[in-house]
Amino acid sequence: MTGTVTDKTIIHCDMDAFFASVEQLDRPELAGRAVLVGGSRERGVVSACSYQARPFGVRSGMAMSKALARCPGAVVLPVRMERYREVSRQVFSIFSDYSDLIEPLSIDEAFLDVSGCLRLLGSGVKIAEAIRHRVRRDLGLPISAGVAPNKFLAKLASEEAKPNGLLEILSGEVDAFLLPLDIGKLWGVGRVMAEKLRALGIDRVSDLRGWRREDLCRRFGREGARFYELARGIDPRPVDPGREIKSIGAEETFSRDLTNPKEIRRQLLSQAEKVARRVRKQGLAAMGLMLKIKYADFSTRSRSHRFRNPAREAEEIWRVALELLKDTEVGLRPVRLTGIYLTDLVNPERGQQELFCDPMVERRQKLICAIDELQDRFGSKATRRATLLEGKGSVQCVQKGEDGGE
Amino acid sequence: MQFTIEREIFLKALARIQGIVEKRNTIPILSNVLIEARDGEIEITATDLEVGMRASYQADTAKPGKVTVSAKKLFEIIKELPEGEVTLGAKENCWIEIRCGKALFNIVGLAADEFPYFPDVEQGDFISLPSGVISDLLEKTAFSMSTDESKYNLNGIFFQNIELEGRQLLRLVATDGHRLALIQRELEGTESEELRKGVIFPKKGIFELRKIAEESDSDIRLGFMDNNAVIQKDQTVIIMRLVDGEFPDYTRVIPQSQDMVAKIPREKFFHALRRMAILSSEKSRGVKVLLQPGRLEISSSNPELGDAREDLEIDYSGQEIAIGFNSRYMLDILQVQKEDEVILQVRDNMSPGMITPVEDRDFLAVVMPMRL
Repeated sequence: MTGTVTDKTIIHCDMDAFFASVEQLDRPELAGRAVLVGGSRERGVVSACSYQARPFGVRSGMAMSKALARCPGAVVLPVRMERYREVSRQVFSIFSDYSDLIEPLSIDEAFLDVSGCLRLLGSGVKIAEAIRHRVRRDLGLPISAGVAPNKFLAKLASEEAKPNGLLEILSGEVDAFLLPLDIGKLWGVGRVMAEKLRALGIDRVSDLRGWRREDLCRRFGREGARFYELARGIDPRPVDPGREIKSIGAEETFSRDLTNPKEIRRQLLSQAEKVARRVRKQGLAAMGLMLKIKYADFSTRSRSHRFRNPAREAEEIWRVALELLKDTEVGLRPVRLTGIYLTDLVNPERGQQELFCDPMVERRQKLICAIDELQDRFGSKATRRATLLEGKGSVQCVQKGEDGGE
Repeated sequence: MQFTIEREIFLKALARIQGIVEKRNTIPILSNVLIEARDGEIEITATDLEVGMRASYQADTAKPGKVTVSAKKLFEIIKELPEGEVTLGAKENCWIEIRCGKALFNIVGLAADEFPYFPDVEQGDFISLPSGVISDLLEKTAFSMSTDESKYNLNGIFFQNIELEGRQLLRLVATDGHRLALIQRELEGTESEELRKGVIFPKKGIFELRKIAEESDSDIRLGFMDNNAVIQKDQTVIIMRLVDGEFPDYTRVIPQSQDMVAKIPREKFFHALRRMAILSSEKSRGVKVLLQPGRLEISSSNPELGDAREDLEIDYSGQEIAIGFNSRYMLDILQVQKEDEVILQVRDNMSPGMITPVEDRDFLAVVMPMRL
């Protein structure tokens, strides 16, 4: 893969205010209104906000209470991850009509390398326009797209195009687009790094261009070399369709802080079930587990464990989570959120084989397969553990976070 | 209580029990050693309630009695003392005084009465086993024991007495669920009810048994007492609680007849494996073993480092087959073999492979393949 800016056509597709747009689609009376998706008014965090809420200064990631203070008229809706995932599958299926080289970045965002289909389908802009048209016509949802010679520029272009727009950066226009940009827009430059760069007098990409590669490397190591290239619009990363999933997690913020360890254990069982099912669906198993606890004062703790053998069953994941729970202050301090993350994902078919096959293990695996099939056909509520049935007084989750953690 | 003993003897005695005392210190007295003086000898006892050891040594006992002090501290002190005689005496309130040359130590112990009960094992039926044989059997199986504490029934070695084709055999089997080692030797007069059924000796007990088996040539006496194995040799008694669990049906996983049989020079195989293991993945340690007529190729690759390949001439005329194995498992087996050549038998890359010495039909190791 070369670093030149001329030999590829990459499209970055990004749904506009995805969760909020789906809600507006499903409830037409909300069209044109400020919609905040994310859970309870008092305790949640904004997962997505419709464009009508943005002029008020509302952003995703903001505490719901703060968002409502800024935009009191907004409609607050809970996250319906399953529905979004369903729509996401439809969106990606449209993408796949235009390229085989698709790199999903999240539930509503992907890179498409269309270099190989230009002759067949027309220019990058034409393809992007067709995709946007299909998503609008077939699904009724707004989507923005950026077309450029590499991933870095394509993503910048789609950001610039939002909402509901399309922008192409041609090879000859890279500098005109890039140089005036704020340094914080560069890929890999977060808040902390932006501050460091500003301290050196680098506020815009044009300022960065004045630096020599050696000087940047000396200050920032490998990152420095990348900054040097990005400042020139160079990004050699290929679109990688086989992007490995690095972790699978589920976390929940509760409608009230939990103090009863029994209730917390129950919530963890539900989370263990979710991650176990998702890891199985990917055909993977986990060698590592991380338990995340957020106390009422927002301080966060995490505890991790390494499995001896790849784990993919809810019970085992739950047992380990409970073991890790003993090493926290759960029960003593009120808990706002718990989460389970599976890490070090491996293919369980690979690796060391077992000498003894345990008939009990085989039977359990058959049972799990059967339940997975039932839930695939009839939804995740088709079968449930009795302890996870929602009864009176059970704690509702105000916000479900999920993480495909690429 | 007061006695005087050669520092050399005392140091050896204390060294022997260091592996037994409880290190986690959950029950303080279990990290102590009990010393009892009477009639010209001292008796030294340590236990973690799973494995216990008691041994007696000659000493000049001026006053009988017993004390208990930290096994580790006492060992550290005696280790630093000059050669010569050490005098140890009990004082009031569990204090102990140690004198050697011009050095004087006062250390505090615990009440000796609170030391856990150590059963008297003089009576009962014992069978006699030659130390050399036991030491050899343990060396050739111990490496296959599981270190995964959740697999408690595999945390030890299975001892069984069997009759096979008119031979009385003592059979030892160890497995961690991925590989297995089995050895059996003809031993007369080793019948006992417990051994006929089969018992699992715990891992920690195996280490202690191996140590005393290697100490001298005199026979080991083995008996059983309420779910404990009692081992006696010279002046030493070891008691270990047998693992309370079912040993898996290992006979099922021992391949009966496999068509692909290779005769391989052991030393060459061992060293080639060690070289190839360097580039195997850190986690899996997997290497690929390729059998071709007259030739064995071992290869490894590591996406972060590179790859390696080596081949050696072997005696093989079967069809070509490639199987992944954990190099550590193969090395463990080859390391305890003594003969010049080993036999490797395989069926396919899903079934266990078996390694045996060319001449010895009573020693075999089974390894489950890896999918690389």
